[in-house]
Amino acid sequence: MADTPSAPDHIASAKTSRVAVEMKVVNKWYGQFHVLKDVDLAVNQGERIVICGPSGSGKSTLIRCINRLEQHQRGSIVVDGVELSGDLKDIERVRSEVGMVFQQFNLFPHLTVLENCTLAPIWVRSMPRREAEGIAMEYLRRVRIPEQAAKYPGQLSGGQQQRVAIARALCMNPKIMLFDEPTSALDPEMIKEVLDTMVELASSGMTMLVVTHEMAFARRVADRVIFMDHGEIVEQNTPEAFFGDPRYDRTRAFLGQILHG
Amino acid sequence: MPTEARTPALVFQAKPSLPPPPFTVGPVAWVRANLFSGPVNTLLTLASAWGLYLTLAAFLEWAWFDAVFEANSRRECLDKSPTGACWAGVRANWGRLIYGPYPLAERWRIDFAFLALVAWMAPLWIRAVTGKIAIAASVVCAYPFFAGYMFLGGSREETMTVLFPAAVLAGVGVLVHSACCILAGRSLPDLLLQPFGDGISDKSRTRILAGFAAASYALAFVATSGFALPEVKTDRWGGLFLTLVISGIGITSALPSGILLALGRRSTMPLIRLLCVCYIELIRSVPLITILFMAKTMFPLFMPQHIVVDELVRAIVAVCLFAAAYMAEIVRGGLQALPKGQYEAAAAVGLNYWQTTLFIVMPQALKAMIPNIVSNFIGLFKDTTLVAIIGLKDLMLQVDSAGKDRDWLGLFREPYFAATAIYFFFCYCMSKYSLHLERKLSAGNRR
Repeated sequence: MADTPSAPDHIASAKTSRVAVEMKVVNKWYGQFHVLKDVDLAVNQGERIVICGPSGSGKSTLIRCINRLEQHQRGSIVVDGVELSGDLKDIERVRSEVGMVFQQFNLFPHLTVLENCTLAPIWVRSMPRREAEGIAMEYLRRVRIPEQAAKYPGQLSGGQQQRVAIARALCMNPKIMLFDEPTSALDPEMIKEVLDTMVELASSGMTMLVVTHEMAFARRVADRVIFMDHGEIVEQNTPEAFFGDPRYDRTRAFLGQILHG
Repeated sequence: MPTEARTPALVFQAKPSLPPPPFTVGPVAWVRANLFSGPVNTLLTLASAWGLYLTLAAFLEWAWFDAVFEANSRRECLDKSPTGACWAGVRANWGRLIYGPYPLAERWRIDFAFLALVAWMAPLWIRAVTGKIAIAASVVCAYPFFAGYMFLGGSREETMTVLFPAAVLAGVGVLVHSACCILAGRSLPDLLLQPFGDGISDKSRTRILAGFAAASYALAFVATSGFALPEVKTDRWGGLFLTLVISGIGITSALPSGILLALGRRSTMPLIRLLCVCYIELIRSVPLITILFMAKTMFPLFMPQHIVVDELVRAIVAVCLFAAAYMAEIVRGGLQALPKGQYEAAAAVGLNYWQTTLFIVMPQALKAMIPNIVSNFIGLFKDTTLVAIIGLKDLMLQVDSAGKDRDWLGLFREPYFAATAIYFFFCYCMSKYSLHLERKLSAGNRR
């Protein structure tokens, strides 16, 4: 990247403030399995990145390292000026600034939709309940399901649940949003409603890292598409260049598989 | 498909629903399908009916038709009806079964404390009452000091001087608050703050309420200072009362301590994990009676001579230690059943360990484990009969002593039957309540 900062990682200088996430030579192993190999990645604020690749290529692990659901063993990750280390306070700070949407939604089944959305603002941000509920309803309106606020997640369809999950993450007013295959567990007719929500979010200027196989979505909103295989970033480029003229044979093979398979 | 719109669409009309063929639903069908569905089943049904008739008839003859309800001694019972039950003996010994050797004149204290508990807890089941968590907490934290003094009496020592008025205040506070909620539809703090207007800050609200609390505590302190009850030492506690005290404390303490142990066992801190694993495995591998004997005979040997711990306290502590280990394993089962995604989602929104445990993990884990938890409570309730072996006069020992009374010598069957009924009543209620709780809690998030 052209504007990769040269300042030391732990200093949040004016220069680094434009960078939302910076990963340097990140390595991770699951036991003997080397899942991330020397990953370098810098994400600017407001940038929208789509990560794709075959299963087991480490793309989910990569974005889960950004909010420390997975721990990297070598290299450094700086998120919003905070370097991720063993320090719990730092980790909690990063997590409250980074929203995440999971493949399996992971809503809290014992809480209503509204409570799912207000829990973290109330307890992590110490927000008064009224205010938190107001903000939650605002986001539920944005994902177009305010009428479901009093229901429990189990009473909603998959697409509705995923939209609640997006609203829940947004209620913390995050600076960065991570999406881990948000549409992979959905029935085909529900994928569109979730993607529409994500497109709308992208147009609002949110920094997004999305692991997905929805190539139409990548073409439409991504600033940069990243292809991973065997724990490495093989190739990254603008969507036009990435889809129009992939440089590596591996990328071509992969795109051939998922676009015409 | 749109291309088929050329020919006019056929109109589908559902056939009307007809009643089912005769004798496939209703009681007759049920009897046919379940009792007389073939020659073998018919034979088995008739045989069981005959067996049931034999036992039930004999039992009813003993328990009802030949039974004696009015008599002054076992002799009189036998004279009236030698083959029937002598319920008069149970009636005469009823007080002994319930209160044990507790002095007759002081038994009202137990009744009063029990009724106070009912009144204290009743608001938890009333919809209009707010602040249920605080009420439940006051039952667990304050009621024991109130009941403790009611049962024990005597002069109040330092801690009791301070805590008894506080407990009384908490109880009265709960009742007044509940009354406010039901009658005025507003909570007690709300009503207290009303004269100060709406425009006061949170800080001054807290201050005003603290002022009210302090003033009413002073009032309670003065009001109860003249209140003294004659002492009843714990060796005179007994009967169902003692059983309820031991199992009540055991059950109440088992859940929190079991939760902490289960969390400790899954902790990432090696020392805490090791301690919890050792504790749980050690206690679980030893019978309760061994722990009770340790508490009775071994514990005093390890203590300096001037430290004397009440025998009942030692037994209760032993029961609590035992119950906690079992509860810990049940809670751990619930924790393990929780999908990993729940922890991840909680972490991803920034909740810390205790927030995740309190708001996400425990509500789901405990709900999933309700049947096991209540089974454990029922088991614990019945296990407390073992304290009779180390000489505490619980319900079972009272049953035994009824048959050794001068007037009722040899009367064992009927008191044991009464004890069975009492145990059945309590255990069945717990079991039924757990089913009700399960249904109620699962209604919210049905899939």
